[in-house]
Amino acid sequence: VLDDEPARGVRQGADPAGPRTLIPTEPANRLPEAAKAFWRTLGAFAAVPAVVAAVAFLGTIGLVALPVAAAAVAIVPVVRWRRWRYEVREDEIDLQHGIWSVKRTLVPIRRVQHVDTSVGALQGSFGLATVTFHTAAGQTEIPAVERGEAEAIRTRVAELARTRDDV
Amino acid sequence: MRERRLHHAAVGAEALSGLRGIAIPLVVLAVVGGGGADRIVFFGLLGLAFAVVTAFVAWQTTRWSYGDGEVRLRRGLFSERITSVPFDRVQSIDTVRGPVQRLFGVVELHVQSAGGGSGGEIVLKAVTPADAAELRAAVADEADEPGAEPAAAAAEDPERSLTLSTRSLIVAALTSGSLAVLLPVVAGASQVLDDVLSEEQAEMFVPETWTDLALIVAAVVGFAWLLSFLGTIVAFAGFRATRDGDRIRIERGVVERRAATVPVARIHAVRIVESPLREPFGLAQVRIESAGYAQEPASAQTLVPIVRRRDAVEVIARLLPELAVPLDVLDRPPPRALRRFVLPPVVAGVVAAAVPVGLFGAVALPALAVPLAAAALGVGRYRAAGWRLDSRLVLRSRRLARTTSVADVHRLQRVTGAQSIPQRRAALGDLEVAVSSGRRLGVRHLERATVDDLVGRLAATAARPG
Repeated sequence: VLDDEPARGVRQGADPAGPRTLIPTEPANRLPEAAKAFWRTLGAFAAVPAVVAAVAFLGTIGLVALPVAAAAVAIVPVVRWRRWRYEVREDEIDLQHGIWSVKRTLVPIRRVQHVDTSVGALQGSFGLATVTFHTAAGQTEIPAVERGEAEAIRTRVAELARTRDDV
Repeated sequence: MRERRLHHAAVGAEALSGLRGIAIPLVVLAVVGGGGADRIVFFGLLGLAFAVVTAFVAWQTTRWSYGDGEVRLRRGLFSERITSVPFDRVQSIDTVRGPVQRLFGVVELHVQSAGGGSGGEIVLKAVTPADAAELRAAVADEADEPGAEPAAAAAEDPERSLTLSTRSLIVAALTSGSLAVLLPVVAGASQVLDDVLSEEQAEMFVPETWTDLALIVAAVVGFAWLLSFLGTIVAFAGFRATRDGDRIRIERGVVERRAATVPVARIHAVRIVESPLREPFGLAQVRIESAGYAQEPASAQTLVPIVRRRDAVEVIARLLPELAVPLDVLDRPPPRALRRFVLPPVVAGVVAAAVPVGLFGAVALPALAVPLAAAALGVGRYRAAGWRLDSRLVLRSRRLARTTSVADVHRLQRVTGAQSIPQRRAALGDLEVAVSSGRRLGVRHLERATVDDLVGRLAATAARPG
C-alpha cells in the first residue's frame, strides 16, 4: 500500500485547493529593531569575559576565541532577528525562529492556560519584554517585543483563551 | 469542615516508606564502617528509630478535611503547609493498599487533581474505608461523580476489561530490562566497590582479558535484569484494566495494591512501545498519555503491560476505542532521508570508538563494533519512521525502542515543523507535536512539503473544538 501512488498523493496533501492555505507562509510580525541591540549587548556580556579568560589561560592561542566572540556579538543577533517572526491570530499563536534549525511552532489559543509578560533588568533598558504562553505541555515564548506590544498580546490572548476554555 | 487525623496505621506506613528511602545509604554506611554484625544491627536500629520518630511526628502534625467544596490537607511541624484541591478539580481518587494498610484494614488515598504535576495532589497515607467512602461520596455529589467506584458489572465484562495471565506477567517481566534500570546498578556497584574495597582488592576487579570483562558485564547486566524482573512482577501482578463509561480503572500490584481511575476525556494519546528486548519477539507495551499524570512513574501510565504487537490495536479498541486506529499502513520518509538517519549516530560511534583505539591501540579494536551498531540503529530509525493523518494522528519513530503513537488531533498542545540547514538543501524537515502530558511525539526527515502540509492541517484541527 505504501507504493500506492494515488493514496499517497491524497494523504500528502496533493489537493492544491485544500490544506496548504490553512496557515500563511510565515507569521506576519518581526521583532522590534531594539531586539538586535539587546541581544548584541547580551552577547557582549558573555563574549568579553570569555575572550579575556581564553587569553589569560591559553596565551596568544586564546585569541582564536576572538572571531567566535565577534560573531556572537555582530552576526548571531542579526540572523536571529531576521529569523524571528510571530503572529497572534484568533485561533492560534504562530512563531518562527531558529538559526541552525528553523522552527515553525503553532500553539492553539484554546490550549493556552495563562500568559505572562516579564521584563529582565537589561531587557527593560531597551524597552523590551518577554511574553510567555503556558500550556499543559509546557511553555513557549516570544523573547523580545516592545513593552506595549507585550501587554497587548497578553491581554488579547488571555481574552481569546477565556472564550475557548479547555485542556 | 471537621478536621480529621489519619488512621494510626499511617505511622507504620510512613515509617516503612521512610525506611525504604534510607535503607541503601544505611547498608552502605554499615558495610563501609566494617566492624561486623553488631555494627550493622546498631545502624539498623538507628535507622528504624529515626524512621518511626519521623513518621510519628508527621502523623501528629497532619490533619485532613473536606467540605466547602474542597479537600484539604494541613501538615508541618514548624511551618504549616496547607494543600487544597477543589472538588471540581479532583480528577480521581486512587487507592493504594500496602502491607501496613492491609494489616489494619485501611487504604491510602491519592487525590489526583486535574491541574497535573505531582505538587497538586493530596496523599492520605491511611484512611478507614468508612472515611474513604464518605470522601468519595462528598466529591461525587458536587463534581461529575469522579469519586464513585466503578460498577462491578463492567469488571466482569471481558469485552471491556483486560487481565494479565501469569504467563504474560512472566513474559513481561523477563523482557522488562532497560538501560534505565542498568545505569543506577552500575553506578551503585562502582560506588560500593569504591567505598568498600581497598586499592589492591579493587585491582582484582579490573578486567585483564576480554573474557574477564565479558564476565563482569554479564554479572552486572544479570543483576539489573533480575531487579527489573522483580520490579515488574511487583508492579503488575494481578493487573486489570476496565473500561467503565467515561473512565478507565486500572488495578495492579502485589505488595502494594493500587487502583487508579483515569477519565477517558483526559487521555489524549497512546504509545505502543516495542523495547529492544520485546521487539524481536513481536511484543509491545501500551502506555497512555494523560493530562495530570505526567509526573507519575511509567508503570502508572501503562494501559497494557504486555501484548503481541499485532494484537495491540484490538486490545486498545477494547479499553479505549477512541484511539484505536490501524497502525501498519504508514507513509514513510523518502529514500534520500536514509543518510540523514544513519550519519549522526555513525559519526558519534566513530568518535566513541576512536578514543579507546587511540589510547590502547589494537587491543581495543573490537570497539569498532560501536560505529557498526550505530549504523544499524540509524537504518532501524529510518525504517521505523512513518506517519498517517486521518481521524487521528499516527506517528512512528525509534530512539532505541520503536514507538508508535496515536494522538487525538483536537487535543494537541503544540505543533512544530523544523528544518535545519542540511535538511534545507535536501528539502526535508521534522515534525513534532506536544500532548497534554507534556510528551513530545515526532518524526524526522520527512519531505519538506509534507511537513508544511501536516503542520497546517494539524494546527487548524487542533485550534477547533472536537
